[in-house]
Amino acid sequence: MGDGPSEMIMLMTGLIVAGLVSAVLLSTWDTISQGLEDQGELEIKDAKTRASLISDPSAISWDNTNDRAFIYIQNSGTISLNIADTYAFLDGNAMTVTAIDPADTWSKGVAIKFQIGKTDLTFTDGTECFLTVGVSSLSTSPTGTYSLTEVVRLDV
Amino acid sequence: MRGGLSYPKRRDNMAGSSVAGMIVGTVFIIIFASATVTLIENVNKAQEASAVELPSPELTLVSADWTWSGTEGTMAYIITNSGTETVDIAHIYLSKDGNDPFSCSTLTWDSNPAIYIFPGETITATESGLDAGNDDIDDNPQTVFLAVFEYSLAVSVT
Repeated sequence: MGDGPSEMIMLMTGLIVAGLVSAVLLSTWDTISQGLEDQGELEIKDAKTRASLISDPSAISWDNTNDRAFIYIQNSGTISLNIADTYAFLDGNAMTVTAIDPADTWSKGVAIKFQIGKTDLTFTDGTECFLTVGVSSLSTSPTGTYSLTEVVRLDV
Repeated sequence: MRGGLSYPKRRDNMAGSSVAGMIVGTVFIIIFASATVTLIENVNKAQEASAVELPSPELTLVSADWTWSGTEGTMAYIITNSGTETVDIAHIYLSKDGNDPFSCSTLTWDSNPAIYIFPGETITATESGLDAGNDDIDDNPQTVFLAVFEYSLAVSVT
């Protein structure tokens, strides 16, 4: 009889420890699983988010007086894009991006005209530099993103 | 007598240990099963991401011919769908000498209605009324750039 309570205590202790370990493992796995699921959804969204430059990259007109250029970007993905979230870098310079007469929805195949500019940014005619444009999906949770980089020749 | 007393106690101990082992084992089996199911779901989701099909048209701008009547210019574009996807004409953009791109849906086509170019099909589009006096970039253009989604090409005007 003397061994009975101590064995019961050992048994209960073992069960409690096992339960705690199990709870920790389940919680950890749930976190990992949720992370993987979120990552998968983000990859799908990113894969559907695309854009392409449809202006002639060999002749992008740059206006040194107004420090700006106009470029056309087409939604080449399969989901609508957020016009307001578009950003651009020209020759490493962060540009102010303004959509000109944008459509209500930037859906698949639709091209939007953007004015890109930066104060006091001047180029010489024929400058060849990198243009990077980034876009985001209109739908969120998660938000798909994509950026394209092309070499362009500036026609000043 | 001693053996008679201790034997049932050992059986109780064994029973208790068995129950504990079963509980712990079951919990771990549940965890493993849950992990396996989630892993399979995530693998399927990863495959779904790689299976996203984006538009991948291929067009050939066979020629861009410029004619000047003395009062106005006309451009005739001959475009062939050399890919395997049917292409919406409204998604095709042309630009002359770096001028603003315009959708091909604004042109006059030899077939009517012209909404799509099917694989292997060749169609001719005409852009007329180009006035050299209003926009010198339309005067004797040298190059035409075609872009549709991530496919683009340029040809010299003949």
